Amino acid sequence: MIETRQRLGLVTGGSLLDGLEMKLDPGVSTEALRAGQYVVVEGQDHIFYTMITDVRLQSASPSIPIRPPADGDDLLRQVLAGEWTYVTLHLRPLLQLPLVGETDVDSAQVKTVPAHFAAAQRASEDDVSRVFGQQSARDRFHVGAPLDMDTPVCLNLSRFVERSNGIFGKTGTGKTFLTRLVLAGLCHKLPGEVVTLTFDMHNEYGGSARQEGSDRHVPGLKQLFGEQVAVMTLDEESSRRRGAPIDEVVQLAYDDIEPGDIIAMRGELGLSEAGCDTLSLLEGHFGDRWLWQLLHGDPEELVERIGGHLGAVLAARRKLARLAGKDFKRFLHPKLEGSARRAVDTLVKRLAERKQHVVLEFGQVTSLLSYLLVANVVTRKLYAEWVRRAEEFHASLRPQDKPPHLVICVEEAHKFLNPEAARQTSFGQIARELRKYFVSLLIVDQRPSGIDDEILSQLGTRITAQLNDDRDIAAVLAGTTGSAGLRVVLAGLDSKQQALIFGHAVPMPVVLKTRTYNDELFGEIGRIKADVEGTMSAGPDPWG
Amino acid sequence: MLYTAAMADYVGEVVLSSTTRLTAQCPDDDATPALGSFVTVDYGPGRAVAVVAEVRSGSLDPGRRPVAFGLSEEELFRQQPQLRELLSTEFEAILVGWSEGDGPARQLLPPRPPRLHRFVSPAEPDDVRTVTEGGDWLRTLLAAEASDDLLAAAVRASLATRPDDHTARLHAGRALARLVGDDYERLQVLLRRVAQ
Repeated sequence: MIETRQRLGLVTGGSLLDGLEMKLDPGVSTEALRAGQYVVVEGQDHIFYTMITDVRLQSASPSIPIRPPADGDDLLRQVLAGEWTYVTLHLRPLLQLPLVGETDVDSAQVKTVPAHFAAAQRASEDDVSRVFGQQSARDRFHVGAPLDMDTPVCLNLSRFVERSNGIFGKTGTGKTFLTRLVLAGLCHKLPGEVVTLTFDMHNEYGGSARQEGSDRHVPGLKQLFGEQVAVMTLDEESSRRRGAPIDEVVQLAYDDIEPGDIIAMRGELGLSEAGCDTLSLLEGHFGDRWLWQLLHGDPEELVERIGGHLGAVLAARRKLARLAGKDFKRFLHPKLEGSARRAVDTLVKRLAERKQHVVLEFGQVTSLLSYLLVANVVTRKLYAEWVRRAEEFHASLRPQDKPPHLVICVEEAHKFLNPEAARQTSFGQIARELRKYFVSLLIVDQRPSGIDDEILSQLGTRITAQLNDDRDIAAVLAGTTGSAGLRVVLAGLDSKQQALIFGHAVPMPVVLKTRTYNDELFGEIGRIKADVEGTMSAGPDPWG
Repeated sequence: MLYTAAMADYVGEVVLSSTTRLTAQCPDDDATPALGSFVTVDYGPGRAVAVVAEVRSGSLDPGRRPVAFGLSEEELFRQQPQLRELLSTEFEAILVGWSEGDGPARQLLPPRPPRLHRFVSPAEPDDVRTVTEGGDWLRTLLAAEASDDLLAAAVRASLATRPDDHTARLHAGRALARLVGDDYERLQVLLRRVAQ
């Protein structure tokens, strides 16, 4: 290594299971250390990358904390410092690389620990870039830098899309920003191979969006990637008002909806089990006209036809009457004709054939129920389409038949993936069945504890901003080794522009200060500022 | 006279000695060395460095105990001038350093006891510095059953020969800490006395 590292101390104990214990050299301030920082331990043949997960104040005699030095007794304090009162760090080993020779960081799992008194040093920029570097590689995308460093940390996007992933964080911590960054990375680095569909509940991804806490606007995916991205909307009026660069309007008809879509949100609707049975009975008799019949048919006649109970039919009708409400009227119609009829098919086609990334804006369709319904319906259709295409590809094995990898980005994920809904919706299936059909999820949520454990444990890469609730923290860390250490790191994140990334797409967990939307990013994407600016709607100068 | 230089400011004459301790008689009461101060005794060649561990005054004749006269010191010696010859002050010192020739003294015990009737004089600051470098000399004192007061006084005397008082005090404090081990109470007492 060319750059010299700062020595922190030496390893005094530990185990593979519990991590390493190191004694801090006297003179190194504890205040210069932080949970989540990297420390490298140089053994005889290997260099161990570790992360600080705990800092402990120790004293050699039990009397010292009982009768501490008096105020102003500086001599005693200084005499004690280092030998009688000292600091130990708990280090979690993350990677083990040979000291010399080529390294494959993806297969550098820790298999042992260094010997006693191995020197522990603060990781240098060179160390970090050895692990996270290769920004120029085809599928690596720079998402930020470790705290206190400028070395780029790159996500391995090929690995990222192989599994479903999660972006978590409480409100206002930059989930949307992180999501936009990851989507931009997928658009930029893997065009044609990966397509994304974003259910954009708050109209933040397609067109320019205001940055939280400021008047700055940041360009959306459409402005950054032009034709590569299609913005579709459920609420044309709202999108036009905002000057969003929309490509198409998506409308749904009653016959697009299956009972399964409704049953998946029975909790939100307050639908009883009998109600769910009624919907299935209706579909059995009326096919895709079941919803129209339920909402507009004569209940007594319906009971006669399907043989259910009048009370159940009336209850179901009452609950589902919300689908004819004001919010739904913007996009859900009893019947659609012509091109509007095929809007969802067009969406599928754009993704599957034109290999465009699609952002589906909700405009002023703000109710959670509409979001759930649309996401359920569209995802079900997409899933069916991808399963069909994947099966065709598996039969023919012709590269041209291989469907692009689809990443479905969904906010408020705990509404789709709570233990009850996860069993019923396509989202649950996608999250579980992984890459078999080339579909994975990008879950964005502020309440990960609401998501089914089984699905959380299947997540490949987790990107998490600050979380406060213990249950949420435990949920994010479920199924990861050494989660106690990461819990400390996670609790220490700032509420802005910081995130912990761990899992499949990074060689080791990393605390990031996230990359900013700046000229360098646009330069990398190949768009210059003026180009992007030209496509943005009028508004305050986004460039400050 | 062989040792004129040593005689000029001598504080005692060796009257009892071993390889670990010496007892010296002071030429007069005004030249008594301070407790914890460093003294040197010439071997010719070589010299030993010792720490004054105890100073005591009494009658020269162990069989005759001084009695109180109820007079001021001045009046007493005017009336009884022979008393000056009958009383003596002597001190005991623990050997802590040795130099074989002209080089600096080190933290070693002399191979032989100092010869009787050799003169003892205050140690040179350079010798004190080299002997008290690190903390091993304190262990020698402790092995000779030095009291905490003596340890503190000796550390203070060693610090007086060093310019950077704070760093030296810190080093000495750390040496004491290592010496007293887990006895945190004792360390606190020692450090308070050193700091005085």
